[in-house]
Amino acid sequence: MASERDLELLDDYISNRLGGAEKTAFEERLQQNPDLKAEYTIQQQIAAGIRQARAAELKQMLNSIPVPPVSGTGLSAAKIAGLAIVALLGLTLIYYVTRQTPEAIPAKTEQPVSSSAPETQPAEQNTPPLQEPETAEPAAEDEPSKPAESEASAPAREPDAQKRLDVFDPSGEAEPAGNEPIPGAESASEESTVLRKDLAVVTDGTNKKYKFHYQVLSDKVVLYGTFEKNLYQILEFISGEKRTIFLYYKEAYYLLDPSGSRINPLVPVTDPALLKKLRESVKQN
Amino acid sequence: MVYRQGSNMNEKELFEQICKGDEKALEVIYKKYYRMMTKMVISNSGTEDEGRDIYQEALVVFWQKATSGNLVLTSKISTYIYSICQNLWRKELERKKRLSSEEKDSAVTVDHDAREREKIILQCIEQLGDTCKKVLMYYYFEEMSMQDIAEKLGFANTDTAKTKKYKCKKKLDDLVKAHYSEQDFLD
Repeated sequence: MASERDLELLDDYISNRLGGAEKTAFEERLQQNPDLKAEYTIQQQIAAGIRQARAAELKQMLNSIPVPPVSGTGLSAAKIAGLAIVALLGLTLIYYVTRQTPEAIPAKTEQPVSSSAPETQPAEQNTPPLQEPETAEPAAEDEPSKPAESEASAPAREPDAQKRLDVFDPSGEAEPAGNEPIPGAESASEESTVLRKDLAVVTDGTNKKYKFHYQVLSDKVVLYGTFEKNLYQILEFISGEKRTIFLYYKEAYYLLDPSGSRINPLVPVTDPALLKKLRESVKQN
Repeated sequence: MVYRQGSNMNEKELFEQICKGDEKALEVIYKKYYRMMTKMVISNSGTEDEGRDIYQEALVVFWQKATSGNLVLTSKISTYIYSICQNLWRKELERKKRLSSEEKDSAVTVDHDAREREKIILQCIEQLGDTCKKVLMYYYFEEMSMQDIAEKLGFANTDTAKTKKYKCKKKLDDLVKAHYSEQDFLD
């Protein structure tokens, strides 16, 4: 029969709280005392069970965190085509930025964000924008030092992306239809920009894979995940044939990519200047 | 504690928070390196689901080592976690390979008793109250000191934490042993 003291030591031993000579001495006792050894077997199983339960709890917690899906690793023809379009739109935007007043800038928020990426992350182009794009592209091969490099290079890129975001001016977008004509991005014809809030929204909370995602279809926006009713609104800025769509949900704005019908994660807009302008344009309308 | 996003995150500060058992810091790390780690698995014959599993497993290992004070970080957090992911994925690939050759040989052996015992213990843990579960998990998994457990769970002092841990463990032991004797697992 194991003594109370033995059981205390056993608990310390199992929870890695014994060290040095004490540990060695206890291991010797364990070999000599069959009762203690039997108790050790049970206690070891119980401690393993507790650890297993805790690991499962932590994984469950991690599983509930929304993360952008990782799709594809190579540069396909579609991606290259996408890159070309983004680059073209980016150049067009720069042209208008240098030429127009802020009020006349068409809806192009997604273009400056994307156009900054090809310099550093070409393989990412067909995937939705990340909150921390700087950490997204490690070497996939066996080089643990590469992620560190990727991370280290990050701070230099982020301010650049933020700076380009300033180009977008929703207050200009929000001009009512029929008012001052503004030039389009791809043609020389003049077009006006309107803010619409009537795009249909449906929510889908049944999909286990997509917990905080969206999909822009031609006639509606699908929100995947659990969204509280009446707390979301779609802001659609239309300039000619171009659409820039934002989701407003729980006091945050999310830029929605209107091109294609992919399911993308919702990434909040963090640029303070853009946020301010969005709030102003909503207030005005 | 204010969490800054992305590259502005102070790595040292983040690691310190992890060591203190701050789950919010774990969440920040999870998001930050999700793509990096899962892509390693995807690039090595895995799926995104497998990548996520491996990454979560690696983070749990990292968390356990950091919170228990058994980790002296000499590299970046991402480098450390990446190497755990690589090791885990390598093992998983070996396991798959072994499994497929075992299937061919029809020589799969499963320790049913061990699985049954594991199931019993998990069921017994589920029967404990939330505080009991937390105390035991912090004690055996995070290997926190009684003082840290008292602070984390808002106990009056270390003695209260000790008493709580003793009672909770006793309750769990009794539950497990009762089930074990029903199943003839006790010698």
